[in-house]
Amino acid sequence: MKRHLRILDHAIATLLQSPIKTLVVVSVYSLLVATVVSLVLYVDAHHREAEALLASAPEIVVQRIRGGRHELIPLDRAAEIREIHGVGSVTPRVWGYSYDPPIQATLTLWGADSVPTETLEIREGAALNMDAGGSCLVGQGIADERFLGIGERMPFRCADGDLAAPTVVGIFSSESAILTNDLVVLPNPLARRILGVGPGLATDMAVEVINPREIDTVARKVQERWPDVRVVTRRQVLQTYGAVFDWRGGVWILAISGSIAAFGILVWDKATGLSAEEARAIGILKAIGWKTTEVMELKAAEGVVVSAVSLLTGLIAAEIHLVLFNGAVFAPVIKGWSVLYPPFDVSPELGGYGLLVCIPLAVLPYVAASLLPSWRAAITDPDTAMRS
Amino acid sequence: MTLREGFLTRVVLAFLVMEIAAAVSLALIGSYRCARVRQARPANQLLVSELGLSDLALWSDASYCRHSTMALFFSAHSDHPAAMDHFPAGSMVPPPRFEISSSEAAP
Repeated sequence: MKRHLRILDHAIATLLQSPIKTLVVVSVYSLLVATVVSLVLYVDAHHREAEALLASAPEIVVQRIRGGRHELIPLDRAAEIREIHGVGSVTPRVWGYSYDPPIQATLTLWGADSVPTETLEIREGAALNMDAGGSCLVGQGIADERFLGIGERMPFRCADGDLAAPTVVGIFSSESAILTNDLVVLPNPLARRILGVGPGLATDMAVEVINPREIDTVARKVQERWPDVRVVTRRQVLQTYGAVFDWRGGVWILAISGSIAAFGILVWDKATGLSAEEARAIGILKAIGWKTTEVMELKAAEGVVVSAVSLLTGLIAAEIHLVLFNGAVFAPVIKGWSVLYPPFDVSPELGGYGLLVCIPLAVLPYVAASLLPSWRAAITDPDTAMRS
Repeated sequence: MTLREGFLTRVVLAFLVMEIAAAVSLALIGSYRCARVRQARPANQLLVSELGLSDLALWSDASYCRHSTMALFFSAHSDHPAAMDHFPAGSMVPPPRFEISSSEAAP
């Protein structure tokens, strides 16, 4: 044991003989680990959040398409869809967009009969109604941008040119901002009036399928029966968000691929040859009686010390970036940018997955790169090694 | 100056232990925040199922970004020619150049 500790001591002393070089390698290595771990955990957190929330999205959404564009769907189709075997309920959805000039943002208007009060900041009087010009619930982002409070009015220009000014009766809590930041929930009749959706029509329909295994079958039946519809299943919704976050993560990987390549060149350079000084040092060690295994242990110890310090420093940097700065470096690309941007918190979690990704990346290549040339030098004659 | 045997090893090990302690502390803070996010999830899931929401309110610049699952495949640029786009093709196609002549610009 004492012999191993002495070798480790000697390895650390060797690293400290060229402190600038060691510091540069550790810094670059740590930066790379920090970047990759941050990115992996950040994208993973977004995937997790999207999957958890959209797991309760409608099983199937049926849209009507005409001339390649969205078209309002007749309400009588709801009864026909309900007749398909396996369908539980069909809920017509009334929703659309409205541009709000004061904040220069597009708001999503959503018709509803009721809203779960758990997601509202102020629960009192949060029932949607059509009394006195109607009422509405607004997202935190809209309330903040327009300085709206409970009891104030939110004006909209209706499809017929009239002005509608429903009273704000509730503001969605900031915890639901990822879903409601730009959302205005209105009673269905008011939403229809503002969006210009006639009484016998809806924007699209949410179809509930009783047995989740039959979702694809029901979707196929709807598609076959009405050639002018497009069906979107929950699986496709989840896949879309998976693809969007993956693509955005990919953009970052592309951006940092230069530094990954630079690090690869550094490792390759180390793997393909020793400097004359290093070869001479190995030759001297062999000449004074060190065995090949001991030289290899020394070089492995050097690699492990550099890798361990870099790995932990990189992990700490990644955690500081994600936990204290909310992933500020990656946020613009991964989360996107908007006028009304939700201040949501995805909280990346460092678990087995993150460690499994970063440990092989951080430890193995560098240790392997240290061992290979050292082994070559260690098996050669000490005299030749010193003269090379 | 000669260093005592094992001194450097002890210094490096102490540094590593400190780093592990810092990493674990930060991971615990992260877990605490994750728990807070998880706490809000049931209410959000209820909201999704009650309203029948199918998209996240992340990107509200264009309809195909706000409701990316409901958008048609070719709907990029249908809202605004210079809208921020998340599809690779949209990043490559520049917005059209609109030239407003002085006569058109005059009221």
